Amino acid sequence: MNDEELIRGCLRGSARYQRLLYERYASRMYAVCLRYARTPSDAADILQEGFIKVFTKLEQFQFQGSFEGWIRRIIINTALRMYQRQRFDCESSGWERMPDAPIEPDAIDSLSEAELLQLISRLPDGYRIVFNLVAIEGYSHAEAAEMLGIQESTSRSQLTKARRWLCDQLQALYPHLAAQTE
Amino acid sequence: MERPERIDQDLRRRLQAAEITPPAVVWENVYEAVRRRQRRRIVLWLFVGGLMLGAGSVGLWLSWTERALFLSTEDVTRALAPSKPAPLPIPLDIAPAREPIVASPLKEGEQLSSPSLSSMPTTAPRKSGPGTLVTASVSAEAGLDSAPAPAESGPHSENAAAPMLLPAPVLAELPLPSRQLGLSPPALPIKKPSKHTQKCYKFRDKSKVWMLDAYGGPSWSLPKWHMRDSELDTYAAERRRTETPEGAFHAGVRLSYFVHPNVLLRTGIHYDQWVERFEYTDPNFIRYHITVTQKLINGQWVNMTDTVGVEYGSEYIKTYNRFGLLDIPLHLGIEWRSGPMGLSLNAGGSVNTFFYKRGTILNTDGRPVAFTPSSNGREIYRLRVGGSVSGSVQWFYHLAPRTRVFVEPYFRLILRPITLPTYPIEQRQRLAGLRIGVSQILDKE
Repeated sequence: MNDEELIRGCLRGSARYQRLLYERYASRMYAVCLRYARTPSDAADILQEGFIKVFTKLEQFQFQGSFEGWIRRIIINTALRMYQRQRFDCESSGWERMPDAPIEPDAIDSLSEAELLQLISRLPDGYRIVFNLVAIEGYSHAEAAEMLGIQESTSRSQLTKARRWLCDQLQALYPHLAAQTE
Repeated sequence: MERPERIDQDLRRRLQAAEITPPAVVWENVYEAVRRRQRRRIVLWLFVGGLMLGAGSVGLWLSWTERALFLSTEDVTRALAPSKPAPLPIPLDIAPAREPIVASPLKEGEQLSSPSLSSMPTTAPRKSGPGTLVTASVSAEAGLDSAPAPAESGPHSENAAAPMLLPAPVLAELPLPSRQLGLSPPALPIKKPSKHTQKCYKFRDKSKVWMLDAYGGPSWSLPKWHMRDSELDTYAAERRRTETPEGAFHAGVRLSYFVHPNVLLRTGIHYDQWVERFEYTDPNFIRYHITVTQKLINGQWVNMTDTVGVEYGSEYIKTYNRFGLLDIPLHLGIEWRSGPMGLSLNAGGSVNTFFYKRGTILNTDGRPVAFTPSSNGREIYRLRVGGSVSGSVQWFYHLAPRTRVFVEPYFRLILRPITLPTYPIEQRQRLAGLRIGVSQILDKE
């Protein structure tokens, strides 16, 4: 069954089609939620709120472009909204002076997806959101800054700090992945 | 050293297509929420349909009334058609008048002079029912012998020269000679309606009419708290400190029916909304990042807990808590009118159909908690608030006979607490507001 049939079934109010649509995309979207949320519980909240929006706004989908992209956009916006609703003022959170942390080139590949997601979820809020938007989703700094209501320079700075933080954490948690430095 | 962009690329490659199975409860919640919204939409559509049906019925009834009136007028005209005056044989010594003489209101002190018979045209007698208006055109006959029977009380008559209209009962009271002559009596003093009276709807002519109101305006939320536990005073004080009223408004449409010229039954749909700002700051916010790893030591798996980071700073949360009530009121009103303005007292009850609540408040543990349904927060408020009693005083002014503007202060008391019995603070809610609106009396005549 293709996406269009699924969507038309959902628009008719069929619970079966709604279930099928959810099952097709929930796992991928939950992985997205885990990247943006602090905890798995927050991620489940984002997924739930996001899918409620998907089903209630389905009639607005124009059948142009990727349906998965449309859902992903809704999920990301829901995550950002949750982040903005309860913004934590943690800019001076002690992660400013991170040492450079060299890691092995294949360090990322040696970790499972769950471990990587756990690692990202530990990032401070500001770093995590910018890292997800720019590094993973591929938004530009200008777009991310507009979505978050921050300066473009702040977005760049947050991304740099996020990278350093991740490298440092990789080195601390998995010492065997640290690159040999002179 | 690893180039920073490398980690981006690696993580993107690994995570963009990652799939993690979500907890099963998520689908159950999604399904329940979607079903609830669908049911709510159906109820809303049914309500809107009912309103439209009601409005349509009123419109149909009004147009039917108008059509019935129109048909009855048409019947009368048709019945009169054959009795239009045929040219009467006019005695040779009487010259025919070219223009009919039409009675007109006399000025003060002026006397009606009897016209000479020779200058008067003839008109055929017409019958009418009681209460109809009669054109009191002067219709003297050329000779009494040849004159038709005098009008007992005439119906409508179209006269080219703007006839003066007199009620049939008035004409019936005329002295016989005048009636036989078809002459108007000495002119009755006609009172010119005052400017104010022209603006008023004549409830004496038709008292049972419908009226449609549309209104909106500012409101004030007046909550009243009662502690179920005296030890929660500090908590209540903290809640008061973190919550600030941000304003409220209301809007609605109301359909009223005059069961008596001074008594109305009112119903419709009314929406009240109030907003509170919740601000919470924890200046000593600390979050510890820890990892728990399992290590094999001496053949046994041991959990090792390491603190990998400490996040410190201030935590600041600001939300706007919104509460909305959609109700169906049923009120009884008593109305007094004087000139173009009037006053009405209204009282009655209303039934809540929908209670919207969204936001965050301080929980009893001192931490912020969401109370929005389906937010995995805390259930604090009832699903619906039930019944309310309310009263209002309306001052209105007629802009036109069927159009009014009004201002109406009102007070509303929700009978039950709006909080759940499990929540330690019982919140009773009262609302006051000022309705500003416009009324249209649904009478096309």
